[in-house]
Amino acid sequence: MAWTAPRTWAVGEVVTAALMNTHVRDNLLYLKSALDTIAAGDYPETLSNQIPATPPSNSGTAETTLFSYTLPADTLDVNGRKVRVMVSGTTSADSDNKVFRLYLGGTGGTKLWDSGNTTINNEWWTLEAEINRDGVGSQYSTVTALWARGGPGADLQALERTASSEDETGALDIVVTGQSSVGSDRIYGYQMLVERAA
Amino acid sequence: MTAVWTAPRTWADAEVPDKPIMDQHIRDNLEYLEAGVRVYDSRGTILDKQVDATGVGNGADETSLLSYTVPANTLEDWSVLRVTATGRLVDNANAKKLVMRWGPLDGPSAEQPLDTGNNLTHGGNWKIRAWITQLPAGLGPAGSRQYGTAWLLIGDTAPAEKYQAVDRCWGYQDATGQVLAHVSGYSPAGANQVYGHTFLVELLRPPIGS
Repeated sequence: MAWTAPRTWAVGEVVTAALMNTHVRDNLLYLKSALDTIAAGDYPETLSNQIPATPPSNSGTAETTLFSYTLPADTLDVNGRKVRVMVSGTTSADSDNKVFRLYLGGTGGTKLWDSGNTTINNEWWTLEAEINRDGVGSQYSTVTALWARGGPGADLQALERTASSEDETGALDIVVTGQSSVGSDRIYGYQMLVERAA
Repeated sequence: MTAVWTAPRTWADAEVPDKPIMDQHIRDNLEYLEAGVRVYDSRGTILDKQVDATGVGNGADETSLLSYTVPANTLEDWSVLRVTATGRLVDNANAKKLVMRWGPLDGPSAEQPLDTGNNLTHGGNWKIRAWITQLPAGLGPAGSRQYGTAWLLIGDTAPAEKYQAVDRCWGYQDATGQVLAHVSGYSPAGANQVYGHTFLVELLRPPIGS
Protein backbone atom coordinates (compact mmCIF):
# COMPACT_ATOMS: atom_id res chain seq x y z
CA MET A 1 0.00 0.00 0.00
CA ALA A 2 1.63 3.24 -1.14
CA TRP A 3 1.30 6.64 0.48
CA THR A 4 -0.55 9.30 -1.53
CA ALA A 5 -0.14 12.99 -0.72
CA PRO A 6 -3.48 13.76 0.93
CA ARG A 7 -5.90 15.60 -1.29
CA THR A 8 -6.65 19.25 -0.77
CA TRP A 9 -10.42 19.31 -1.02
CA ALA A 10 -12.39 21.98 -2.86
CA VAL A 11 -15.53 23.73 -1.72
CA GLY A 12 -18.57 22.13 -3.31
CA GLU A 13 -16.58 19.13 -4.49
CA VAL A 14 -18.52 15.92 -4.90
CA VAL A 15 -16.38 13.31 -3.18
CA THR A 16 -16.17 10.09 -5.10
CA ALA A 17 -15.55 6.60 -3.78
CA ALA A 18 -12.24 6.49 -5.64
CA LEU A 19 -11.03 9.65 -3.92
CA MET A 20 -12.13 8.48 -0.46
CA ASN A 21 -10.52 5.10 -0.96
CA THR A 22 -7.23 6.53 -2.16
CA HIS A 23 -6.89 9.49 0.16
CA VAL A 24 -8.55 8.19 3.31
CA ARG A 25 -8.74 4.40 3.36
CA ASP A 26 -5.40 3.64 1.66
CA ASN A 27 -3.49 6.31 3.56
CA LEU A 28 -4.85 5.02 6.87
CA LEU A 29 -3.80 1.50 5.90
CA TYR A 30 -0.35 2.76 4.95
CA LEU A 31 0.13 4.46 8.34
CA LYS A 32 -1.18 1.42 10.24
CA SER A 33 1.23 -0.86 8.40
CA ALA A 34 4.18 1.44 9.10
CA LEU A 35 3.24 1.65 12.78
CA ASP A 36 2.99 -2.14 13.04
CA THR A 37 6.47 -2.48 11.55
CA ILE A 38 7.89 0.00 14.04
CA ALA A 39 6.13 -1.63 16.97
CA ALA A 40 7.55 -5.03 16.07
CA GLY A 41 11.12 -3.73 16.18
CA ASP A 42 13.49 -3.49 19.12
CA TYR A 43 14.19 -0.03 20.45
CA PRO A 44 15.59 1.17 23.76
CA GLU A 45 12.93 2.63 25.98
CA THR A 46 13.70 4.50 29.19
CA LEU A 47 11.72 3.13 32.11
CA SER A 48 13.18 5.26 34.88
CA ASN A 49 15.78 8.00 35.19
CA GLN A 50 16.40 9.12 38.77
CA ILE A 51 18.71 11.99 39.71
CA PRO A 52 17.54 13.16 43.16
CA ALA A 53 18.17 16.77 44.11
CA THR A 54 19.61 15.42 47.37
CA PRO A 55 21.67 12.30 46.70
CA PRO A 56 20.64 9.41 48.97
CA SER A 57 23.29 7.94 51.24
CA ASN A 58 23.69 4.97 53.57
CA SER A 59 22.23 5.31 57.05
CA GLY A 60 23.94 3.88 60.13
CA THR A 61 25.71 0.58 59.62
CA ALA A 62 22.72 -1.19 58.09
CA GLU A 63 22.34 -1.84 54.37
CA THR A 64 20.41 1.13 52.96
CA THR A 65 18.43 1.40 49.74
CA LEU A 66 19.87 4.18 47.57
CA PHE A 67 17.69 3.58 44.52
CA SER A 68 14.84 1.28 43.62
CA TYR A 69 12.62 0.73 40.63
CA THR A 70 9.80 -1.75 40.24
CA LEU A 71 10.02 -3.45 36.89
CA PRO A 72 6.42 -4.01 35.76
CA ALA A 73 5.22 -7.61 35.46
CA ASP A 74 6.09 -9.25 32.14
CA THR A 75 8.61 -6.60 31.10
CA LEU A 76 10.90 -9.57 30.43
CA ASP A 77 8.17 -11.10 28.25
CA VAL A 78 10.20 -13.11 25.74
CA ASN A 79 13.56 -14.84 25.72
CA GLY A 80 16.28 -12.40 24.76
CA ARG A 81 14.47 -9.42 26.24
CA LYS A 82 17.02 -7.21 27.96
CA VAL A 83 16.79 -4.61 30.71
CA ARG A 84 19.80 -2.36 31.24
CA VAL A 85 20.56 -0.57 34.51
CA MET A 86 23.17 2.17 34.97
CA VAL A 87 23.98 3.50 38.42
CA SER A 88 26.56 6.03 39.55
CA GLY A 89 27.53 7.59 42.83
CA THR A 90 30.33 8.78 45.02
CA THR A 91 31.92 8.13 48.39
CA SER A 92 32.93 10.13 51.43
CA ALA A 93 36.44 11.54 51.76
CA ASP A 94 37.91 8.91 54.07
CA SER A 95 39.26 5.38 53.90
CA ASP A 96 36.33 3.79 55.74
CA ASN A 97 34.76 0.63 54.40
CA LYS A 98 32.04 1.10 51.76
CA VAL A 99 29.94 -1.46 49.89
CA PHE A 100 27.51 -1.04 46.99
CA ARG A 101 25.22 -3.79 45.76
CA LEU A 102 22.60 -4.42 43.07
CA TYR A 103 19.63 -6.77 43.43
CA LEU A 104 16.97 -8.18 41.13
CA GLY A 105 13.75 -9.07 42.94
CA GLY A 106 14.47 -6.85 45.95
CA THR A 107 17.09 -7.34 48.65
CA GLY A 108 15.63 -10.77 49.27
CA GLY A 109 16.03 -11.71 45.63
CA THR A 110 19.13 -12.26 43.52
CA LYS A 111 22.26 -10.25 44.21
CA LEU A 112 23.71 -9.27 40.85
CA TRP A 113 26.60 -7.26 42.21
CA ASP A 114 28.45 -6.90 45.50
CA SER A 115 31.51 -4.68 45.57
CA GLY A 116 32.69 -6.11 48.88
CA ASN A 117 34.44 -3.69 51.19
CA THR A 118 36.14 -0.91 49.27
CA THR A 119 38.03 1.92 50.88
CA ILE A 120 37.89 4.37 47.99
CA ASN A 121 38.33 7.90 49.21
CA ASN A 122 36.20 10.68 47.70
CA GLU A 123 35.89 8.80 44.42
CA TRP A 124 33.15 7.99 41.94
CA TRP A 125 31.72 4.57 41.32
CA THR A 126 29.49 3.21 38.59
CA LEU A 127 27.98 -0.03 37.41
CA GLU A 128 26.14 -1.08 34.29
CA ALA A 129 24.03 -4.22 34.37
CA GLU A 130 22.29 -6.11 31.59
CA ILE A 131 19.50 -8.42 32.72
CA ASN A 132 18.56 -10.88 29.99
CA ARG A 133 15.67 -13.31 30.01
CA ASP A 134 17.01 -16.69 28.84
CA GLY A 135 13.99 -18.83 29.71
CA VAL A 136 10.71 -18.88 31.58
CA GLY A 137 11.56 -17.73 35.11
CA SER A 138 15.22 -17.59 34.19
CA GLN A 139 17.60 -14.66 33.72
CA TYR A 140 21.26 -14.27 32.87
CA SER A 141 22.80 -10.99 33.95
CA THR A 142 26.15 -9.29 33.46
CA VAL A 143 27.55 -6.36 35.39
CA THR A 144 30.42 -4.03 34.53
CA ALA A 145 31.54 -2.13 37.63
CA LEU A 146 34.25 0.45 38.17
CA TRP A 147 35.13 2.35 41.26
CA ALA A 148 37.71 5.14 41.45
CA ARG A 149 40.43 6.27 39.12
CA GLY A 150 43.66 4.40 38.95
CA GLY A 151 46.42 2.90 36.96
CA PRO A 152 48.50 1.72 35.40
CA GLY A 153 47.88 -1.62 37.00
CA ALA A 154 44.68 -0.57 38.76
CA ASP A 155 42.47 -3.30 40.15
CA LEU A 156 39.32 -1.32 40.74
CA GLN A 157 37.02 -2.77 38.13
CA ALA A 158 35.17 -6.05 37.66
CA LEU A 159 32.92 -7.96 35.32
CA GLU A 160 30.31 -10.17 36.94
CA ARG A 161 27.77 -12.65 35.60
CA THR A 162 24.88 -14.17 37.49
CA ALA A 163 22.13 -16.66 36.69
CA SER A 164 18.85 -16.08 38.49
CA SER A 165 15.36 -17.55 38.59
CA GLU A 166 13.06 -14.68 39.44
CA ASP A 167 9.40 -14.82 38.37
CA GLU A 168 9.16 -12.27 35.56
CA THR A 169 5.36 -12.62 35.41
CA GLY A 170 5.23 -10.57 38.61
CA ALA A 171 6.72 -7.15 39.32
CA LEU A 172 10.46 -7.27 40.07
CA ASP A 173 12.21 -4.70 42.24
CA ILE A 174 15.61 -3.53 41.05
CA VAL A 175 17.39 -2.22 44.13
CA VAL A 176 20.76 -0.54 44.69
CA THR A 177 22.06 -0.40 48.24
CA GLY A 178 24.95 1.16 50.10
CA GLN A 179 26.47 0.12 53.39
CA SER A 180 29.39 0.94 55.63
CA SER A 181 30.51 -0.85 58.78
CA VAL A 182 31.59 2.54 60.16
CA GLY A 183 28.42 4.62 59.91
CA SER A 184 26.23 6.93 57.89
CA ASP A 185 26.97 8.96 54.77
CA ARG A 186 29.92 6.94 53.46
CA ILE A 187 28.38 6.07 50.10
CA TYR A 188 26.06 8.17 47.94
CA GLY A 189 23.91 7.50 44.90
CA TYR A 190 23.63 10.12 42.17
CA GLN A 191 21.80 8.47 39.30
CA MET A 192 19.93 5.32 38.34
CA LEU A 193 18.82 4.83 34.74
CA VAL A 194 16.69 1.80 33.79
CA GLU A 195 15.87 0.99 30.19
CA ARG A 196 14.20 -1.79 28.32
CA ALA A 197 17.00 -2.31 25.85
CA ALA A 198 15.58 -4.88 23.43
CA MET B 1 -10.68 5.84 26.11
CA THR B 2 -8.19 3.85 24.10
CA ALA B 3 -8.95 4.06 20.41
CA VAL B 4 -9.49 0.76 18.61
CA TRP B 5 -8.32 0.15 15.08
CA THR B 6 -10.97 -0.73 12.48
CA ALA B 7 -10.09 -1.79 8.94
CA PRO B 8 -10.82 1.44 7.04
CA ARG B 9 -14.07 1.47 5.15
CA THR B 10 -14.17 0.98 1.40
CA TRP B 11 -16.39 3.80 0.26
CA ALA B 12 -19.09 3.61 -2.41
CA ASP B 13 -20.13 6.25 -4.90
CA ALA B 14 -23.16 8.28 -3.85
CA GLU B 15 -22.75 7.04 -0.29
CA VAL B 16 -23.77 9.50 2.41
CA PRO B 17 -21.56 8.66 5.42
CA ASP B 18 -23.34 8.93 8.75
CA LYS B 19 -21.84 10.04 12.05
CA PRO B 20 -21.00 6.56 13.45
CA ILE B 21 -19.18 5.64 10.26
CA MET B 22 -17.17 8.87 10.20
CA ASP B 23 -16.32 8.54 13.90
CA GLN B 24 -15.29 4.91 13.70
CA HIS B 25 -13.45 4.87 10.40
CA ILE B 26 -11.78 8.26 10.44
CA ARG B 27 -11.70 9.78 13.95
CA ASP B 28 -11.00 6.58 15.88
CA ASN B 29 -8.45 5.32 13.40
CA LEU B 30 -6.59 8.63 13.45
CA GLU B 31 -6.59 8.56 17.26
CA TYR B 32 -5.27 5.00 17.21
CA LEU B 33 -2.40 6.01 14.94
CA GLU B 34 -1.59 9.09 16.99
CA ALA B 35 -1.42 6.99 20.18
CA GLY B 36 0.95 4.60 18.44
CA VAL B 37 3.21 7.41 17.35
CA ARG B 38 3.37 8.67 20.94
CA VAL B 39 4.58 5.25 22.12
CA TYR B 40 7.19 5.21 19.39
CA ASP B 41 8.27 8.68 20.39
CA SER B 42 9.10 7.40 23.88
CA ARG B 43 11.70 5.04 22.45
CA GLY B 44 15.32 5.68 21.83
CA THR B 45 17.15 6.07 18.62
CA ILE B 46 20.68 5.97 17.27
CA LEU B 47 21.81 9.47 16.35
CA ASP B 48 25.23 8.64 14.98
CA LYS B 49 27.55 5.72 14.41
CA GLN B 50 31.08 5.82 13.06
CA VAL B 51 33.78 3.25 12.45
CA ASP B 52 37.29 3.84 11.14
CA ALA B 53 39.66 0.87 11.35
CA THR B 54 42.63 3.11 10.55
CA GLY B 55 41.57 5.59 13.17
CA VAL B 56 41.78 9.34 13.59
CA GLY B 57 44.97 10.41 15.39
CA ASN B 58 45.60 13.47 17.50
CA GLY B 59 47.40 16.47 15.98
CA ALA B 60 49.95 18.76 17.58
CA ASP B 61 47.26 20.27 19.78
CA GLU B 62 44.34 18.63 21.50
CA THR B 63 42.29 17.16 18.68
CA SER B 64 38.73 16.01 18.40
CA LEU B 65 39.03 12.33 17.46
CA LEU B 66 35.36 11.44 17.34
CA SER B 67 32.49 13.88 17.37
CA TYR B 68 28.81 14.37 16.66
CA THR B 69 26.80 17.58 16.58
CA VAL B 70 23.55 17.04 18.41
CA PRO B 71 20.87 19.06 16.61
CA ALA B 72 19.19 21.93 18.42
CA ASN B 73 16.25 20.96 20.63
CA THR B 74 17.12 17.24 20.52
CA LEU B 75 17.47 17.01 24.29
CA GLU B 76 14.29 17.40 26.29
CA ASP B 77 14.05 17.12 30.06
CA TRP B 78 15.05 13.65 31.32
CA SER B 79 16.27 12.47 27.94
CA VAL B 80 19.71 10.90 27.87
CA LEU B 81 22.52 11.11 25.37
CA ARG B 82 24.58 7.93 25.65
CA VAL B 83 27.98 7.96 24.02
CA THR B 84 30.16 4.91 23.45
CA ALA B 85 33.62 5.49 21.98
CA THR B 86 36.61 3.22 21.43
CA GLY B 87 40.15 3.69 20.22
CA ARG B 88 43.77 2.92 20.99
CA LEU B 89 46.89 4.42 22.51
CA VAL B 90 50.14 3.90 20.63
CA ASP B 91 52.34 1.42 22.47
CA ASN B 92 55.05 3.64 23.92
CA ALA B 93 55.81 5.48 27.16
CA ASN B 94 54.87 8.94 25.88
CA ALA B 95 52.38 10.90 27.98
CA LYS B 96 48.90 10.92 26.45
CA LYS B 97 45.51 12.33 27.33
CA LEU B 98 41.87 11.48 26.63
CA VAL B 99 38.96 13.83 27.28
CA MET B 100 35.23 13.30 26.93
CA ARG B 101 33.30 16.53 26.41
CA TRP B 102 30.05 18.01 25.32
CA GLY B 103 29.85 21.60 24.19
CA PRO B 104 32.70 23.36 22.39
CA LEU B 105 36.10 21.69 21.92
CA ASP B 106 37.91 24.13 24.21
CA GLY B 107 37.11 26.84 26.65
CA PRO B 108 35.44 27.17 29.99
CA SER B 109 32.00 26.51 28.60
CA ALA B 110 32.80 22.92 27.59
CA GLU B 111 31.66 20.19 29.98
CA GLN B 112 34.14 17.49 30.87
CA PRO B 113 32.76 14.43 32.61
CA LEU B 114 36.08 12.72 32.03
CA ASP B 115 39.64 14.02 31.63
CA THR B 116 42.70 11.83 32.24
CA GLY B 117 45.22 14.64 32.11
CA ASN B 118 48.58 13.62 30.58
CA ASN B 119 48.62 10.55 32.78
CA LEU B 120 48.39 7.79 30.20
CA THR B 121 51.93 6.52 29.69
CA HIS B 122 51.44 3.21 27.95
CA GLY B 123 49.68 1.61 25.01
CA GLY B 124 46.41 -0.26 24.86
CA ASN B 125 42.84 -0.14 23.64
CA TRP B 126 40.45 2.28 25.30
CA LYS B 127 36.68 2.46 25.71
CA ILE B 128 34.55 5.30 27.04
CA ARG B 129 30.89 5.19 28.05
CA ALA B 130 29.12 8.42 28.92
CA TRP B 131 25.55 9.33 29.89
CA ILE B 132 24.39 12.93 29.63
CA THR B 133 20.95 13.60 31.10
CA GLN B 134 19.07 16.80 30.28
CA LEU B 135 17.68 18.08 33.57
CA PRO B 136 14.63 20.20 34.37
CA ALA B 137 15.61 23.72 35.37
CA GLY B 138 16.35 24.03 39.08
CA LEU B 139 17.22 20.41 39.84
CA GLY B 140 21.01 20.71 39.93
CA PRO B 141 23.32 23.60 40.87
CA ALA B 142 22.17 27.05 39.78
CA GLY B 143 22.03 27.32 36.01
CA SER B 144 22.85 23.69 35.34
CA ARG B 145 20.79 21.83 32.75
CA GLN B 146 22.68 18.55 32.35
CA TYR B 147 24.27 15.85 34.46
CA GLY B 148 26.97 13.71 32.91
CA THR B 149 28.74 10.61 34.13
CA ALA B 150 31.39 8.66 32.29
CA TRP B 151 33.86 5.85 32.66
CA LEU B 152 37.02 4.94 30.82
CA LEU B 153 38.77 1.60 30.63
CA ILE B 154 42.14 0.98 29.02
CA GLY B 155 43.25 -2.57 28.71
CA ASP B 156 46.13 -4.51 27.30
CA THR B 157 47.56 -7.94 27.78
CA ALA B 158 49.91 -6.64 30.45
CA PRO B 159 48.10 -5.96 33.75
CA ALA B 160 50.49 -3.09 34.43
CA GLU B 161 49.07 -1.28 31.43
CA LYS B 162 45.50 -1.17 32.65
CA TYR B 163 43.94 2.15 33.53
CA GLN B 164 40.49 3.25 34.51
CA ALA B 165 38.57 6.36 35.43
CA VAL B 166 35.06 7.20 36.62
CA ASP B 167 33.89 10.75 36.89
CA ARG B 168 30.94 13.08 36.40
CA CYS B 169 30.04 16.75 36.07
CA TRP B 170 27.13 19.14 35.83
CA GLY B 171 26.50 20.78 32.47
CA TYR B 172 25.41 24.26 31.51
CA GLN B 173 24.89 23.91 27.76
CA ASP B 174 21.91 25.47 26.00
CA ALA B 175 20.21 22.47 24.40
CA THR B 176 17.98 24.74 22.31
CA GLY B 177 21.12 25.18 20.22
CA GLN B 178 23.50 22.64 18.77
CA VAL B 179 25.69 20.72 21.21
CA LEU B 180 28.87 18.94 20.18
CA ALA B 181 29.56 15.57 21.84
CA HIS B 182 33.11 14.47 21.30
CA VAL B 183 36.22 12.67 22.50
CA SER B 184 39.53 14.39 22.07
CA GLY B 185 43.14 13.26 22.38
CA TYR B 186 46.45 14.92 23.02
CA SER B 187 50.08 14.11 23.63
CA PRO B 188 52.89 16.53 24.51
CA ALA B 189 55.11 14.19 22.48
CA GLY B 190 53.31 15.17 19.28
CA ALA B 191 50.82 13.85 16.78
CA ASN B 192 49.34 10.40 16.32
CA GLN B 193 49.71 9.07 19.84
CA VAL B 194 45.99 8.69 20.56
CA TYR B 195 43.50 7.28 18.05
CA GLY B 196 39.73 7.09 17.89
CA HIS B 197 38.09 4.22 16.01
CA THR B 198 34.38 3.87 16.76
CA PHE B 199 31.65 6.19 17.97
CA LEU B 200 28.04 5.49 18.83
CA VAL B 201 25.64 8.20 20.00
CA GLU B 202 22.20 7.09 21.23
CA LEU B 203 19.27 9.17 22.37
CA LEU B 204 17.10 7.72 25.13
CA ARG B 205 13.77 9.50 25.37
CA PRO B 206 12.32 10.49 28.75
CA PRO B 207 10.34 7.86 30.61
CA ILE B 208 6.65 8.00 29.83
CA GLY B 209 4.94 10.25 32.35
CA SER B 210 8.08 12.13 33.41
